Amino acid sequence: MNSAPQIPPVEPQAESCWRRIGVWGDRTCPELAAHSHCGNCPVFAAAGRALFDRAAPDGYLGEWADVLATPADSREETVSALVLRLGPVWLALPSAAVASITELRAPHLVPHRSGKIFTGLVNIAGELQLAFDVRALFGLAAAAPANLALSSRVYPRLVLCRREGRAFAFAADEVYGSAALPLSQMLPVPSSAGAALSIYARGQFSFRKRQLLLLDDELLAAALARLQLS
Amino acid sequence: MAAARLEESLLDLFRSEAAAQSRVLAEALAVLATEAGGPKQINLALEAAHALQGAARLVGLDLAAQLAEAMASALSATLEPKQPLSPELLAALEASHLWLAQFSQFPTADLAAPSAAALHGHATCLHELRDATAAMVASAKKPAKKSPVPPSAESPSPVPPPAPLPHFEAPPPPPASKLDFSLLDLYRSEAETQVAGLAQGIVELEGDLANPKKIEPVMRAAHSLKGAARIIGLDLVVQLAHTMEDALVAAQQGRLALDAAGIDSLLKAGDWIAQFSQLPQEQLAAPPAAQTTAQAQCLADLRDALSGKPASPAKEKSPAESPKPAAPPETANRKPDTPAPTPASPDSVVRISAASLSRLMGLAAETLIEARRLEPFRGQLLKLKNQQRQFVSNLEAAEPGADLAPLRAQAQDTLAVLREQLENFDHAARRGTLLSGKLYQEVIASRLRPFGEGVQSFPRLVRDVCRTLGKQARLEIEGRETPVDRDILEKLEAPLGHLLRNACDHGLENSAGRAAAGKPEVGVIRLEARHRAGLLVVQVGDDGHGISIPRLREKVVEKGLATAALAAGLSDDEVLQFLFLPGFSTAATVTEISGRGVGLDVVQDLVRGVGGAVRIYTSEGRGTVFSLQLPVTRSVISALLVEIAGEGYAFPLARLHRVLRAPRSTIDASRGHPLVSVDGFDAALVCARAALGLPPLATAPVGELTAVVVGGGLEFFALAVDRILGETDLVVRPLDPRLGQVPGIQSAAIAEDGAPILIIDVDDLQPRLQKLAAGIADAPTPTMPHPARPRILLVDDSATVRETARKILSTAGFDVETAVDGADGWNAVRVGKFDLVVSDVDMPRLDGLAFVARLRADARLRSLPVVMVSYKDREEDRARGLAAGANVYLAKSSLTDDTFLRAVCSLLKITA
Repeated sequence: MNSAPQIPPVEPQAESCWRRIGVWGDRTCPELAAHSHCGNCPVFAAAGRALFDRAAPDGYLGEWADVLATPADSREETVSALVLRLGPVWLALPSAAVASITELRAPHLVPHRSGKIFTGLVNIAGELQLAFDVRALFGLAAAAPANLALSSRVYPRLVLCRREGRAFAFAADEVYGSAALPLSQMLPVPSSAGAALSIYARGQFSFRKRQLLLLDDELLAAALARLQLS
Repeated sequence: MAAARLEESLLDLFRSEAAAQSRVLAEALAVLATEAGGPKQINLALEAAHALQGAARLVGLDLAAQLAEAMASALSATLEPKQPLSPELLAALEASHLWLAQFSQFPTADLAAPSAAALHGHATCLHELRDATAAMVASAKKPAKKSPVPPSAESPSPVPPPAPLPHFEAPPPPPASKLDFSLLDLYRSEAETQVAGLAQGIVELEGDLANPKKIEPVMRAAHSLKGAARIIGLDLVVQLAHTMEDALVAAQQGRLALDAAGIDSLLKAGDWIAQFSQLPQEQLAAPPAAQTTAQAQCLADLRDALSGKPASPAKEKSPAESPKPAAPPETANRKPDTPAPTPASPDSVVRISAASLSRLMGLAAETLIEARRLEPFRGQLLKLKNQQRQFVSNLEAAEPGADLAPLRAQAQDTLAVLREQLENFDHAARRGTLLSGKLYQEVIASRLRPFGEGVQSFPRLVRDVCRTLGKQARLEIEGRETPVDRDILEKLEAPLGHLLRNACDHGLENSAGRAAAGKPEVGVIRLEARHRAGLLVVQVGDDGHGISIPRLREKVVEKGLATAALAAGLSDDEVLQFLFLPGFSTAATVTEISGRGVGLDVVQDLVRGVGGAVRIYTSEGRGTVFSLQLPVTRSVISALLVEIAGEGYAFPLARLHRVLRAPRSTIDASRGHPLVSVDGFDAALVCARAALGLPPLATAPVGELTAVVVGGGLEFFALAVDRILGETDLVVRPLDPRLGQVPGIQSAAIAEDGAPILIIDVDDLQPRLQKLAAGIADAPTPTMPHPARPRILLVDDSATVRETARKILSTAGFDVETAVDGADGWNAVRVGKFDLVVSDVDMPRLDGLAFVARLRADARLRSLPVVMVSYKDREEDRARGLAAGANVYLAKSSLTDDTFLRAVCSLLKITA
């Protein structure tokens, strides 16, 4: 990745008198009587200044020059996404669409409205939100093969998404966290993904030895908004 | 003529679309008038003109379509060969655009039969457009002449130099760009307040004409109105408010004696400003002719009053003859029927007092501080935990027989810390409860407005009604300061207006009657509001002749509503309840109560709608009082929580008769449907699950029957529920608008444990309960899609075209879904299953050609048939559409004949 080169840690100086005879040492320094703490002593201050005047380590400047010389658009482009699991499939939902993640709560059914995909109302931070079964929308099974989980303890969560002022909540079987996915490594959606799911997937990534499908959040929001609720 | 079959719903769509397109036109033309104008603006204007033409043709406005077409052809003439717009053409285009903008906002009646002035304007515009186009094309053919401006001397063109704007009598409305609408909402709310103050002041003024102190507030209101209107550039309002101010100044200085007619003209001017200010933005930018004439009329009336035209004393003496004051009560009368003029947008502005807001902020800050105090508490607890762990390990390490004193001391220490922390926590918890309670109270209180704010129009109403009737009455309002929930205050306006009109009309005697009864000549109507026993009580009373109960009893029998024996047994209160039956006294044989029944049922419905009740107190010869008992706020209701199908539902207590627990053996199934006995009545037993359309219980219920009894009059229903959870106060939250009107559910709430609760709408449920009790099986849900119906996706950015095409296709038996542009259509077509797509060409975000190209590039959607419909009907447009992948390319004009439907059917291989 393109992180900046690190400055190596400061070598312990030969003359670190404050450790030896100062307040961090045996307090035998005669100057202590005058300054009462090494922090007030000109020797300590001079040593501190010297830190800034150190010579850069070998190759340090060159490394930085390389970083800065690379044009911004040729640096690797990533998409920040929330990595979550629905049944047997790991998915990535672009972070911009995610409003909050809360503990799982059962939705309250709405008579004449709740169905296979719209499940009901759920209370998230004092507001009633519409909850959807996205797994049913994607045509996914509930069961997941063993060893698919990424977390040591798996908690199902409620994910609240917001796009263009419209919010929708759905249950995820596991939420791993957010990840920056390099777009250059995006592969086409495999044919094994299933007809319903592949409509909503933009591409596939490898992530911690799992296959991850990047979701098209705009299309997902549009599909849920188009559901005939009333 | 085609206009005879104008459809109101389509016209509304057309109006809003025309307003949007004329804004585009106005902007493009404005740029074209400067040096910066170029082909880009011409293309923009061309598209807008085309869109206008298409939309106008669809709704059958041939005049508008014709002119838009002429504009389009004039504009396209400038494109090839490319040449600048001549000033004549620009003027003609501007004039045509103004005509279209105005015409499209006319009321339907005027559209169906355009006035002579409108026709004349149309003809002039058309003529000028054609002449200017011809002249320009002619001058372009002379290649030697490169001058952009064809001088009229050079070409013997019939065009008169700079054409005067063709217009109806009114002056040209200011161009839309001049108005600053960012402040429109503020202006509207200010206009509302000021006009209310104006009307109130004027009515007070009438009672005390000589008092200059009474003129001052009215002047101030007129002045503020003028200032507010000037800021956003509403010249019509500025003008009128200014003239009102003139009249008032003249009256104050004694130059003008205000008489009843003068007061009328002031009130009328205020009315006009009030209604004009609430018009939609487009109409404010280009006021319809009807508005400008009304304004001119108000202005003329005021000027008449100002010019000292002495009001004829005869006119003043016979108020009943003057037809003008009759108008305002009618406008007020209309209110209950028409729904709120503008649906509350999610960002609508609510006024709350500054003091209330600052108290809220204070409380919010305090809760923040309170929450921060919990942080050190957590630290203390952590320390305690470590201490305890240390203690346990010390205990384990202790040798048998060792000295336990240090351990004991340590345990004592821990206990002391624990005690202290417990006490801290106790304080914190108490403070927290108190604080959140206060915060909640304050939020509720911030929704409350003084009662006086909602009744400002009533003195005026009583004055006008009495003037029409030739009676004299004084309205006394008490409890102006009583706080009332703003929702309830709004909802009260209609029923209170109704009761006040009733009091004037039917409650008070005429002057002769009052004299005979020995009462003062001026009748008194009292309107008062106060809080009593947790309820808001609003009373409307008069000192008239009261209601004769014996005669009412006779009438009940006469109308066949009860037998004589039954009527005799009814209490006075029960007899009075008959007044609330719809249309009870329309046959006005009993003079004392004639008309009393008209609208009282409406009053009762409105009051019940906000969870209240109406009672009547009357004393013959002394007067009648209508007492409305209302909840103090609508945002919190007392409700009974029940469990249905394992989930929480709530019944508002106001709509609940009682709760029933009985052994199942008491259910009487002998009469076909199950009945239970409630207080001696039979109530039909209905399963709450069935009433809400939930799946029935798998096994027969056992144990005691638990039911909630609702209904009234003679019809009760017992709704069997799983469990009763208890009574609670709920903060009402509206249902998400995406859910629409859910049958039987009015709103939602959150229970104390955070679970969502649905609040049941008993009134809405009643018809369904009747059906279930009568054993009528539920009809299958109508939303179930018909399996055999082909599904069509309709993509068009014009609402008019969309609605027209949708109607055509639905009538032909297709299942239609719509999308507002190419991008929306692309989303829809990927997630839905469609048999055919109908698409426009010119659309924002993603145009039709690109949309179809994407369809053709998608493996799954490649073979989906596409019908392209556009106003562009040239051969090259067709070719482009077909090349992009459309199966059929049609002109929009084909929507109205059957070419379109035939094309759809043939692609779907259906015989139409």
